[in-house]
Amino acid sequence: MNRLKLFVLFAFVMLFVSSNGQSISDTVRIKEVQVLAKRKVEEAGLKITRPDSLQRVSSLTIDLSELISEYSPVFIKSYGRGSAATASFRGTAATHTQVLWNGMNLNSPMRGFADLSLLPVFFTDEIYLLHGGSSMTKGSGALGGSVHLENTPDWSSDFGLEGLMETGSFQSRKGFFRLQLGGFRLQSSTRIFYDGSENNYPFYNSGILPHKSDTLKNAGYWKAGILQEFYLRHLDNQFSSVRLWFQKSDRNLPQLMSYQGSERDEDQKDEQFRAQYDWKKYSDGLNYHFFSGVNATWLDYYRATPAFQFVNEDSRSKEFSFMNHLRVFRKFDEKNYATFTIDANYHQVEAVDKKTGNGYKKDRLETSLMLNMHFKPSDRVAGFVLVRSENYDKKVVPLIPSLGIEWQLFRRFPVVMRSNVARNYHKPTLNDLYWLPGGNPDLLPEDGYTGDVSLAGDFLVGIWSLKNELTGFVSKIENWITWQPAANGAYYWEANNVKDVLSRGVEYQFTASLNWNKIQFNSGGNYSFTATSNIDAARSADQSRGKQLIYIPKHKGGFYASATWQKITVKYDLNGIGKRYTKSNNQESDFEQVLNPYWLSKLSLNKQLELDDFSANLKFTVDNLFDQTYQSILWRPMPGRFYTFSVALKYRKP
Amino acid sequence: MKHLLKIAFLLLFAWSCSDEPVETVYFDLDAENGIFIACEGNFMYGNGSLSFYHPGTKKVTNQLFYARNNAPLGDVVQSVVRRGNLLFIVVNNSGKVVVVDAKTVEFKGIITGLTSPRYIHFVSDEKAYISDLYADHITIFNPKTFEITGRVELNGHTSEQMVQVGKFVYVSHWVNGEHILVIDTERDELADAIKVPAQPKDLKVDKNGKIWALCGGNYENSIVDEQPSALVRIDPETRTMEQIYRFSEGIFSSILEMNAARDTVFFLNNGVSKMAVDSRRLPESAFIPEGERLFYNLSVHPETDEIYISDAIDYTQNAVVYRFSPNATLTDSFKVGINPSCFLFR
Repeated sequence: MNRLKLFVLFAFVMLFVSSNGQSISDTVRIKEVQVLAKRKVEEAGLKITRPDSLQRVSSLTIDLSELISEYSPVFIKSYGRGSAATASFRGTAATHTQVLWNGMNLNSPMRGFADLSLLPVFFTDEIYLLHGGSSMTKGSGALGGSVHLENTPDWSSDFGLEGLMETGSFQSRKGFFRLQLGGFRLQSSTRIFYDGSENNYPFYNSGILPHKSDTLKNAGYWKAGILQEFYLRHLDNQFSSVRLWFQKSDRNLPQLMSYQGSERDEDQKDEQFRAQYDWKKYSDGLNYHFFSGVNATWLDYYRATPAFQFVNEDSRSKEFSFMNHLRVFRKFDEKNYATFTIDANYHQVEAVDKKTGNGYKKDRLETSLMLNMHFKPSDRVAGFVLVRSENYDKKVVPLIPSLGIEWQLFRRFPVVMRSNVARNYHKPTLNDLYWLPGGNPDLLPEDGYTGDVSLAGDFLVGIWSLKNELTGFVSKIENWITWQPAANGAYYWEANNVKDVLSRGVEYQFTASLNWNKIQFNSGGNYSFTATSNIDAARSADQSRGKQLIYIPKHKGGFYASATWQKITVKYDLNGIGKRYTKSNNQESDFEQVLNPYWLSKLSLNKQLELDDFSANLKFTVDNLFDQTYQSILWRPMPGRFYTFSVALKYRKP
Repeated sequence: MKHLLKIAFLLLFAWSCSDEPVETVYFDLDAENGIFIACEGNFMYGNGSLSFYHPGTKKVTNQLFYARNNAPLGDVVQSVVRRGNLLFIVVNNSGKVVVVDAKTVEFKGIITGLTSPRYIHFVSDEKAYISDLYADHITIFNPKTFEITGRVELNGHTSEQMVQVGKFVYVSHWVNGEHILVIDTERDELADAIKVPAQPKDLKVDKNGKIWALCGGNYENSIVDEQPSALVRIDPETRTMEQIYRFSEGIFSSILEMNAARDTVFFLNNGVSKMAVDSRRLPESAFIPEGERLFYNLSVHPETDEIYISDAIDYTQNAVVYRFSPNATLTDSFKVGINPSCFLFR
């Protein structure tokens, strides 16, 4: 914990150093372009996090969960390398994070969340996060926030070829390939990736007697996918695109450290196919955006004890979503704008346990209308008022309002205050309602209110460039859905609305850069404090009231610093996760299991070579530099120090 | 810039502190008079534990195994039984049985290589059975050496609770089952299977030597219609059901216990229900109403007839155990580990 405090102290010292510099040099240079003018009017009042270009470029070979964990205040709950990972914004659950790919929702209609470990950063061109009520502009259900993955064409290049190979500890291999073809009117992009590992890392097993050095078993995985994009530029400011994404993965699921039973064969196989047709038209004061797409997912889960010739479970689920979206943006004058959207989505899911024949098949039709009025009464003030109406499973959700404002506080000083408040709700997933056994058709949607206030500044101070954003947030979610053992004593678990959750906290992010003696320094960091608790524990025996929800850290922080000289870059990353409780009453003692805080360091050395249109990049990375022993999930070992080496080759014809 | 570098340097070397080792706690428990309580913990959390309560002093000690042995018991501590001075603790989702000294809780040994063990039944000093949720056999082991010595094949059935009448052990086939299996302990073979209502789990033997089984019933799904719980009495001589007590539609009862005289059964059904073994019908009201509590398990002291009921609260924090006199007066309550699943009285 002391280290986290040090980190917070460090972040504030950074602020102090920069403001100190202002007073001494007295050369505060404000960027000529005003802050408000840089942001689109549709983004005024929204809390957005965008990994900067350095963060993205250094993360090309990792998955989305690692990128978000390292470079944003969002907490990622990961079951280990290659295993499932979900995002928790502001103390909410995995199902309260919506993941959208070019506007199309990738959350499973069955389970409610998207596995971020199956989304490679290489398959995206832009990533941004909308926190809290800001997500209402893109859809409902994101009680915590939303993650947006975008693909965009590169009209400035006729031909591009990119290959990236990475090898690492634990027999890990990754390969990435991209071919970009086309001209002024038509572009094609093909991306392929493969990521596989035996994942058999050593660890010290303190979960059994006697304690011993051990090796993780049955944890190997591979994932592979292809993304094909076509872009067409019409004559009259119209753009059409078609995107096709197929991906497959096979992941073994390791046992807890305390397992000493007969060897289990447990694995999960995923297949996803996504297709999207996208059309945009720009004209004076009126823009249109339409897409129609499908998202199909197949998931097989298998668990058996081979020595006993006994299959515990052999289940398959199929999910199919057909999604349609129309967005119209209208500019009435320089001060008044409006966005209108209409969505119509159909989902069908089928789950079958092949061992028992038991399962369910259900579908859902959902529609949504949104009107968002944007105002920009002056160069220093902008805001929005939004109303959304939804309908699902023949239920009409009452109007959901949201409003936000953005205000540049001083004319000559680029400090911006932005704030938004929203009502939001999250409908039960189809598993919550219909899973057999334990689904509960009487579940109410989770709903609540959320609000945040941010102060942001973007300064040029002498040779420093510094961006800061400090946000305070609060949200209350009622009818929180939880799965717990059946109250009737049956062997299965059942879904219920059991909690009202209050979450409040602070998020801070900064980036800084400095060019000094031909050395380019870059730095960035984030910190979040999240207090999230159940406020509906009425019984005196229930000691969970007001206590931190399990597996949500109060403190999370990240920091990186890099120096580049003659195309050689040394980069250091530090990420810290605070203590996480595993009991709802936050009890801890020498023998009660809490997950201790940990810090992970990463050091990388990068050399870039350039020759005309060719470039090459060699990179060596040491993860968990100081060989920390830590657990992300109770009694699941995590890897110690490990190494990766990658070679990237790129050819780009302008 | 200098300030920045200094701070960054300090930060780089700030993580060197390490957790201090936890000191071992040595116990000398009054195991003859106390109660061991197996606490499941949460599935896939690996936080199962063992607690001890002394009814005389009303002192409770939690996390016995971790405190004494500096290691967790494992994932889902399902049941605990005693043989001589040894406790055999069945750790369901860790695939093992951990053996400790009953007075000191010192680790004595382990039986590994199981898959989903549930309960232990001692046939003799040198032979015991381990039932298993995910195996179609019962594992036989020697309680003296902790060695696995064989199997009782179950012909596709799985196994849950076990009771013995004469030379036969009666075993419930719980999940997706509808039989009480009859095992010949001399031949270690499946001798018969008695058909009962869906999903029989808890078994008890009454004063007349009759076997009582609480069948959990079935939820409605794509394969079967809903079937509420049923309590059945079986004659082990004829291997037939003598009496079926059916619960109302939508009622799923669980946990079956018997008093010291073996003339009264207790079970959970929106509270604790009590019924004489010669009753013709189920009781209409609860003997101990549940109220706002979340009753998770129930046990009756085999000598004093005191009733111990665990309240899981929200399933993810330390549970409360209520101690009631035989006439349902609350005499004590105390906190134990998460989700108490089994009480061992001697």
